[in-house]
Amino acid sequence: MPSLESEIDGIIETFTNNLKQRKFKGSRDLALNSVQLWKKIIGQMKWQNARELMDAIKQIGKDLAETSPSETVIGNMTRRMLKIVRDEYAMLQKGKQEDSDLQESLQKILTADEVDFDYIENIPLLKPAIMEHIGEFLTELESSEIDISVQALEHIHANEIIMTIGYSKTVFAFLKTAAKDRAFQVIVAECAPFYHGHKLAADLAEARISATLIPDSAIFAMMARVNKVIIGTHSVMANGGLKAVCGTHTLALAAKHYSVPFVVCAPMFKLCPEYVCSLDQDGFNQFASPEEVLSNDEGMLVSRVNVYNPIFDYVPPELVTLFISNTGGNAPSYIYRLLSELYHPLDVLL
Amino acid sequence: MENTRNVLDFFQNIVEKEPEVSAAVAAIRTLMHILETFGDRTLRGLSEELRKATEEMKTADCSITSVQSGCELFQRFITLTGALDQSNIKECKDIMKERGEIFLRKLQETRPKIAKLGAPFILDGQKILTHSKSRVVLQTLREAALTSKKRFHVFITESYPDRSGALMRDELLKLNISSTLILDSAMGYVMESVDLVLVGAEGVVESGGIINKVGTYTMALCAKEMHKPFYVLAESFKFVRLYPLNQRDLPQELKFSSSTIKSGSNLLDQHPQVDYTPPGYITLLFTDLGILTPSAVSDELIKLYL
Amino acid sequence: MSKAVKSGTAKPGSEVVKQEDVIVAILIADSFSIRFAPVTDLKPKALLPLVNRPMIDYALESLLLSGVQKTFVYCVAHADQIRLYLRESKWMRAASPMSIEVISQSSDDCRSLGDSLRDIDGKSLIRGDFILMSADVISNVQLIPILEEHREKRKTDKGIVMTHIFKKSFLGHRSRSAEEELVLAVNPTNGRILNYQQSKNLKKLNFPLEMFKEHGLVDLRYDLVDTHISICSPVVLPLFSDNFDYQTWGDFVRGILINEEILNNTIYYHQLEGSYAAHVSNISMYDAVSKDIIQRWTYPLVPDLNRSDNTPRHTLSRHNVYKQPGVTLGKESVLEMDVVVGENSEIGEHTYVTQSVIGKRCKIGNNVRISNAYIWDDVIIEDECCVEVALIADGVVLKKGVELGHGCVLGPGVKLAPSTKIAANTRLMASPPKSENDFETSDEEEENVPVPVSADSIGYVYHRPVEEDSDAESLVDELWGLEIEDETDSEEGDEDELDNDEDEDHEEDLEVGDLPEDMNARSFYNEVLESLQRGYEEKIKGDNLVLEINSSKYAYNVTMKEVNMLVIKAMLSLPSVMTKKGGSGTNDDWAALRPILQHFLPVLRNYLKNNQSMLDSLEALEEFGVNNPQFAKITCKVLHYLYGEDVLHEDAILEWHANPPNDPSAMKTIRKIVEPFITWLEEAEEESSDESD
Repeated sequence: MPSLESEIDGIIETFTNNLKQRKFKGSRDLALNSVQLWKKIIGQMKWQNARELMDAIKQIGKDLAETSPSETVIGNMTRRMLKIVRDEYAMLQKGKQEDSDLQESLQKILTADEVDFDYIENIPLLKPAIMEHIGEFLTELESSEIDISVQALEHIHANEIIMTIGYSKTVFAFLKTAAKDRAFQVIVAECAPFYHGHKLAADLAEARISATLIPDSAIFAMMARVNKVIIGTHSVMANGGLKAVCGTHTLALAAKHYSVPFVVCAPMFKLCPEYVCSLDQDGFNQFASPEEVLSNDEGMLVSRVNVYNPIFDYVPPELVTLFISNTGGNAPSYIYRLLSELYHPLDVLL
Repeated sequence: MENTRNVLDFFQNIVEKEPEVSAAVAAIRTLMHILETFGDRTLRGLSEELRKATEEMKTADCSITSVQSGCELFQRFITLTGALDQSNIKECKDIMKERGEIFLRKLQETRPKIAKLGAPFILDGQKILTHSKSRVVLQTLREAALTSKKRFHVFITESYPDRSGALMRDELLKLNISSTLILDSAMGYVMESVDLVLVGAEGVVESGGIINKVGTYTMALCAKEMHKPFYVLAESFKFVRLYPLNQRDLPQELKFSSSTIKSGSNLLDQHPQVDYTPPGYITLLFTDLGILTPSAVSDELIKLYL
Repeated sequence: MSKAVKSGTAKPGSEVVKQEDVIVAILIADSFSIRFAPVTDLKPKALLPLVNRPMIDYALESLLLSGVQKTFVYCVAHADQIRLYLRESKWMRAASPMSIEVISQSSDDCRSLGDSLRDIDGKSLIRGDFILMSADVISNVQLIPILEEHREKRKTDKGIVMTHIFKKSFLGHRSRSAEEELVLAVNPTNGRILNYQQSKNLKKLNFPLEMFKEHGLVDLRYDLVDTHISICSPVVLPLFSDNFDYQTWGDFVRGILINEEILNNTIYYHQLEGSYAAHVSNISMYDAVSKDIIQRWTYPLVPDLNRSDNTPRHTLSRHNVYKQPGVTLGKESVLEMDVVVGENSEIGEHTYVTQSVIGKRCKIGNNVRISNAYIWDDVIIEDECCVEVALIADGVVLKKGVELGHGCVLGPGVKLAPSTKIAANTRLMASPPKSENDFETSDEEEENVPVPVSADSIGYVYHRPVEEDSDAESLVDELWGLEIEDETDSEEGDEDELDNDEDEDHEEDLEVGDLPEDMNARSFYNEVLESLQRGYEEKIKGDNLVLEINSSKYAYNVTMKEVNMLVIKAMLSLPSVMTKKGGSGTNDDWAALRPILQHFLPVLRNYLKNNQSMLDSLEALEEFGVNNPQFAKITCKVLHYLYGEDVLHEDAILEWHANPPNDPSAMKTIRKIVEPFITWLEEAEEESSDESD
């Protein structure tokens, strides 16, 4: 149906352009918009069976991910959709809750051959089931920030000194919730060259939380008196490592040196099933314009000096103490388990 | 007696004639052979026969860790589920044979799967360190060099006493991959200039650690100290139900070849063939079940042996 | 074709969405120059690849990212190619949020920016404010806020015509084109442009005093670079239509500033803060902008973030090395830094590539050295070649061992035989250049038979047609690839000149009859006079004086003939100028003039090289004599002296004498006076010819 296709093309194009123009404020905004996009696409697209739907989702998801390769949230949401489709199909097919271990294991090598999930059967109830599930998922996404914040009181105690870096909405909400009942101080590292830390310090001050702004070079010096480090992150990789704002690795190393607990607040949609092959791998880091580091006006210097402005940093899992997600606290070594619940292994490579 | 000698001969025949095939696959083929030529009438007898054959094969002089785990998994696999509640022994045998075929087929596919998972971790222009000869590592390097057209350099330890590293080097030469053979003692010297360490495994234990040719533990210690990633490539049939806490906990029959044990000499004077590398030194494991962190291994193991 | 104009979302502050609220842009896809010849003979400049992507893509991408809703692409040269490209690309897809309409015009009717704007005005396509941009501009500027600013300013100043966007860039910056240097006088409090001059070769600048009196604060800016992006009010188009002599943007600005009081139109400027914009005007700018893109100053318009349907994304590695899928690298080959390699290209063993762009499907052999080179698609470079500072177009084949000098441009399809060495700054094309003149004599034809640059090669040297600005152009090419040290040298030279200028005396008033009518020529004459005076007083070397006079020539755009004539006149009037009294026609004058002429002999020799120039100078002499009767008496002596010093040849003198003078009154005066000299000359000639027999 050409008109339908073009309509879908239209909403995809709008989304892509909004993405390019960086109109989404933060990962949660992007996640919500992605899921709403999928809701529209799955709702409007004509598909006969689950296999067709999954192939289409994979194709569109791949294209979307290519637009902004370092935004893992898009890929995560695509995989979530695929998992939802699989689960709903299996449930309707079997009439019972499918146990989540559809992974390869010795037993399954045998049983998988018998129970051949071709996904080619046309089940009329599939579409409404999927749409309902997506609706539930949206609600979960919207409340992810609150779900993390309610755990604040367990982790922040009175008169503690907390250190953080840059600006994370999740951490800000976390600290605000804790501040209602406890008094504590926050040290914010400004996070050059974007200086988002300035905004966090200002917001904290407005919320009547005692905040101190320090330059990144002072992180090690101040770490001795810090009780906890609480940060947000851009995404969590499959091995439990972090992809966070540039400067986080420094913070983590300083924390390790002083044995300060390093706590990461990350909602589940930030979990990415990909492994980091190398820090130079395509799509891991994003290099922004060097303008913020060295202005282009500096005539003589510009042609003689290479200036780099990486946006992200990798923090290995050994340096992380705890992940706080909307479902509770987890150790980095447990991430593999969470991933197996969220995504299907066949969907990891889109 | 006739049978047992046949078993051993059959097994060693495969090992010698087909060096590409790993010891575990050879053992499983031997068991399949027994299954086909089995004359007994009862299931019990069959299991007994297979168990005896396994014991027999463990007396061979090759690496028996994988033989042990492979055979155990094979037995569990073919005796799975209630489909064996047939009155006719012949039908049971057929079902078991069929499942055996499936199992064997899946085993053949493990190495290419692992190579596909591991190749992206090798980047253009990197230096890799590996220990002794491992067919899985070879397959992965071949995948990276030929399919992805990457350029890299490999350092291989000689790995006394059998100098199998030299064989590995010859194989790499055939693939046109540049490589250097280094002394076992030069591991620490070379470690600062390599980018990652890639080793195979003879067995993967429940804790997530590995059992591999002696020298692997030293390499892992060096790698940890120099902050180099330590990757292990292992097929899933090498998962073994052991939980060693230190080197001494490893069973004797794994550490020493059977001829050494039989000869009755004082084991304290002998050199062990393998060592145990604890999970804390391993960055990632590449298996046909996917890429696993050491903490995820126990989960997989449990699923396998359920 | 054009899509229905989508009315944009309401901007903050506006209640009703009108037709005028749609954000419109005009993209001029022709630069009306031939800086990139011979490559642009077959392909329009807008489609030339810049870091493996057609230039027009960058312009359209930046408009799209800014939120422009409708764009008119105006093409002149090779319009059909641009139209085809756009139609097949993602820009004209139905789902694209920016609709594009292509307008084309033949190059006979449209030869400049002014013509194109007049044409657009004629078609009545624009009703509100619009963005005017050139298709070879690369920028990551957010244009909507500047458009808002423009509209805000209109509330206080109804006469605002245009807000032009400038980028601050210090001298010595690589993205500062030497050709487009300009000096602006601006009022920083309200952002108005008060004065505009192109300062290409100027050593002195003049500003009207009223400008300083009228405005409380005036900034004189030399650090602003024209980005060729402007926000225009709808009145710009009718202004162009009304004034047929507005050809370039410079004309427009000057016109507006001159007519300020009459029409009450004002121009404003906007200086970019933290954004990047650059105009690819010539090859050295192409080089600079490519490097800026590779070094990510133009983020998000970078190779690893842009993809279209048929081009896969580049992957970024360390040191700004970008590769598309399918690239094969040989053993020991090195991509050092700032390198882009296109799809399916192969690079051989032991090859060294740095700071270059390589297109798709190229085959680079072993042991090749490539640095600062721009290599487009399907190029084959065999073993052991050396390509440094070059531009190589599609389909070129360089056989083994070819060496290209710095600054070479190879047009599409050129094939060079093994071991060819090309001199620096050569431009080659694949087909022999067409001879412009069909009526050539047999002698000239022999000279102009195009010869390939070496045996078995398909490559002919391309000579750019000599324009008035030809010297300036060659200067720009030489800068491409040079180190910055050279720039500082020229800066030191400028400082010396400045010191000298300060010592200059005030201009002298001269007799009106002498002075040429034209303002430029008059200023030139005054300047020459000053230079000569200073030159004589301070005994400056002839070469330096020649330089000074030449630079004045460019500044005031005078022809060679006028130069010759005015130089002679200036020289002759020096004694009277220096002593400030009129001559008395006696030997005293000659006594004063002779040493002057003696001192300036090298200058004269430099300008009077051929017959024509000598004739011109004699004509000037004659005119001077007519206007200054006192001088007339010593004309003979002057001629005799100059002939004796071999500055003027007898053929020229005799020819001059043979032709009737321009001014009939000269017959009586000058011609008569020089009679005896002429007769002496003729006799002498006969004698000499007798002797030679």
